[in-house]
Amino acid sequence: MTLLIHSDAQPGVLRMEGTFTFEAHSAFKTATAGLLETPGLSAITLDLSAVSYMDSAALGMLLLIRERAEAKGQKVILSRPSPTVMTILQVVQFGKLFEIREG
Amino acid sequence: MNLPDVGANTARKAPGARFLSLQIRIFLAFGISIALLLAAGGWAAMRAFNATERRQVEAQQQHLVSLLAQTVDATFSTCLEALASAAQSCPDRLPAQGRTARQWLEHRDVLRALFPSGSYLARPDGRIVASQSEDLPAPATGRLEAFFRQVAVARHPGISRTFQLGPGGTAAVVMAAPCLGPDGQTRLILAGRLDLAHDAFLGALVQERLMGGGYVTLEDGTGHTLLGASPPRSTGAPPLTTHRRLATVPWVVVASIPEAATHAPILRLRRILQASSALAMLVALALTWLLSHGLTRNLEAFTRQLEDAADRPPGQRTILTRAHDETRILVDAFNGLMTRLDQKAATIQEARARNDQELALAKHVLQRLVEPGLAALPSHFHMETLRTERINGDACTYRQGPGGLHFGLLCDATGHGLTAGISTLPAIQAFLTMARRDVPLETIYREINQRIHQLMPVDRFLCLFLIRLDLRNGVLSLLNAGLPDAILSLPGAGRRRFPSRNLPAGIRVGGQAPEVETVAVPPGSRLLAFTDGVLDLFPGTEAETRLFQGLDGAPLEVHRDAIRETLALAIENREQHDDVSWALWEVPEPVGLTVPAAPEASGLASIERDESLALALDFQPGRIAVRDLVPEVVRLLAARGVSGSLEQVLALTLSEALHNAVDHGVLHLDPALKPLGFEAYEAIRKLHLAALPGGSVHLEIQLWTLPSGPVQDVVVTVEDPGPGFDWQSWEQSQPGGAGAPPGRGLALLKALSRELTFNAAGNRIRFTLARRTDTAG
Repeated sequence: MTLLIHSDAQPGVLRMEGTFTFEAHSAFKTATAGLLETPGLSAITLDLSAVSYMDSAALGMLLLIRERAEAKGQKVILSRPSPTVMTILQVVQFGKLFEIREG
Repeated sequence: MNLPDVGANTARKAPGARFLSLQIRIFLAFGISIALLLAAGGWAAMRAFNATERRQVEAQQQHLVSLLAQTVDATFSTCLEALASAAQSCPDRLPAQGRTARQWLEHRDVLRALFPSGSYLARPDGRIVASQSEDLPAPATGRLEAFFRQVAVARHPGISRTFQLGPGGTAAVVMAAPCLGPDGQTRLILAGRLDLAHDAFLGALVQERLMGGGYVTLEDGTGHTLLGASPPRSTGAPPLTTHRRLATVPWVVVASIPEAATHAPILRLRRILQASSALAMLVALALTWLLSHGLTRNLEAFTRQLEDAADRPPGQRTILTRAHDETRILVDAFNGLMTRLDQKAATIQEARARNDQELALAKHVLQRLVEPGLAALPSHFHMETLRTERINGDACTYRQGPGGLHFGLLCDATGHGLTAGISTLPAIQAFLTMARRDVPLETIYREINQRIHQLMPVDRFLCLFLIRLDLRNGVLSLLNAGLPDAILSLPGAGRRRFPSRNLPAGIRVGGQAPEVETVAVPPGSRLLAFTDGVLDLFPGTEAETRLFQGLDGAPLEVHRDAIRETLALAIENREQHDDVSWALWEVPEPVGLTVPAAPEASGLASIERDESLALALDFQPGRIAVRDLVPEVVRLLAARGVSGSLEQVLALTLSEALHNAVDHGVLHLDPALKPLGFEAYEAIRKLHLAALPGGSVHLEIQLWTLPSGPVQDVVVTVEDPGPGFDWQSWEQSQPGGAGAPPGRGLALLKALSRELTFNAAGNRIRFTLARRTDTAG
């Protein structure tokens, strides 16, 4: 299963669904590029509630978007990660880098 | 590179069969169209034939009507002439001679006198042979017989001569008359009842086969049958016409036309048409079949070659065709595509070969790096990486440090392949170099973090697990940065987990100080650590359950083999899996431990043993290395009661303080060189050390001991001959300066010591270490 990325009705929110792996690189980059260029947007929220799995490449993508967002004065929020994803995020201590909002 | 055979796993159907299906579909499409066209043509032709047939029947009927009309008219005229002739016998009762028959008929009384009513049966010669009327007078009989004879014989000899006058009071003559065809042959016999009183020929009976198959009847205007009722009319015989020429009553002649005869030419034509249509249809279908085969033949040949092309080597996949239609366009397009694909395949093959070479090189370098360490693993340690076919970023290695110390590294880099392999190389190099010198785990982590951060893109990082085991003192230090929880089994005290408390290396430099966990480990303690490939196989807490299996107290070899078997089985059942690296370390009984020999003391300028628990010494860095001096000093102090965690902290802080003094106070190394990396810094340091003419570092250590108990405080003073540094600025920048050398080592000293002070110049540092009450030993 691949990753589906939907733009939420709420500005700056991307709702992600499926497995978040290297194969989602292009789709993720495309989906986030628009948000990075959105004037006045202070935060990019990635809704991970429907992401069943993510690998290290996906973690790397999060680091990339974080770096680019910080350059634009934005922050990246990881919202409602599923239990599996939350475990991964905890193992790699991403709570020290991102704001994680548990649902 | 072998291109995947996409057809190998697909059940192939013979192209002939598939194109037979296509051919059948084309055939059906054309065939049905042609059949519909032929059917429409046949239907139109049949309509035309039917119209022709109707016209022929009508013409024949008209002819018959004409024939009938002539016959009846002639018979009627004959009757009138006979009447006139008969009337000659009684001229007194009739008007003047020369009147017309109709005029005669107007005198009904005369007719009644002439022809008394009744039924008479007359022979053809006119003689009455029977009657059902009153007795006739002789004149009347003579007149009747003359009349009958004249009517019957005069005009139609050889035909039925039986006459009958109609019953009732109406003066009538029942008569019969033949109808002759154009050839003179009798076509029918017409019989009728001639109502003389009303000048009407009403008809009575007719029965004659017409042309061997049909019958003719006469009907009046109301449809009442006047002539002939048996056999019934053939179905479909229409009324022909009203015979106006009879004039007296409306006549209707109904002709039943013999269908077989009348329709024979039409039927022949129809059969010919049907046969022709069927033949045309068969020919059309055959042509359609041949045409459809011709249409699909080239396509079939193309497809057959196309399917075989997958099995042919690149460059030999050209499709040949003799076609000059659209198939050739298709073939040309395919051949062009295959040429481009072959070129791409060759490019990919070259790239893959290069990639394989690079991977092999990376794997070779990786193995060269880690294998010596793994080969030197003591029997109570086990570490291994279960790789997939390619490098997926996992590695593990071991290094024995000085003074009975053991170091281990498990790491897992982001991604797969060469990039993942590259990420692990600097980490392993740094680990091996620094572990050999008993550099603290925090420093090793920082060095690796620095290198990965400098070398790799921002989305590449390295999860790692560092182990330092001091067998002599039974202390285990762990640093987990992004790997699953390590599990420590303590004899009689259950298990303890060590979750990740640090970011993976390469993500962020500086910031929070690395977190190292230190725990006392008695003999028999067993540490299990693994990379996240194990979590792919056994999610959550299943890993602990499956890998320990209650074997905490079993011999290490048994436990090791059980883990190996469990992992191998799980990997075998997975199509794809990540690399799996794991380590199982057991703390052995102290018997048989070897402690490296103490360095020779020739480098020591002087050693003064303070019997009141203090020591002071000057050492020349050019003659003795800090890494050799520190274990010796610690050994001396251990004999004085410095033990356990205090001994660990003393070794760490002493190493940091002496290195700072030597590097910056004696060798005058610029702290800004450290970001170049540990290896580069070490290289420059060696150059400076080799060129060092002299210079020494002063070290003082005081021990504070309770009257009855171990050493509680250790006060360390280190002074170097250098100009010192701006320690006030450094203190003001704390804690944010922890990541910037030289502040990193000083920050560690500050974190580990109860008190840290400098002299005004900043070339003398003094710090106090206190025994921790929450740590065993």
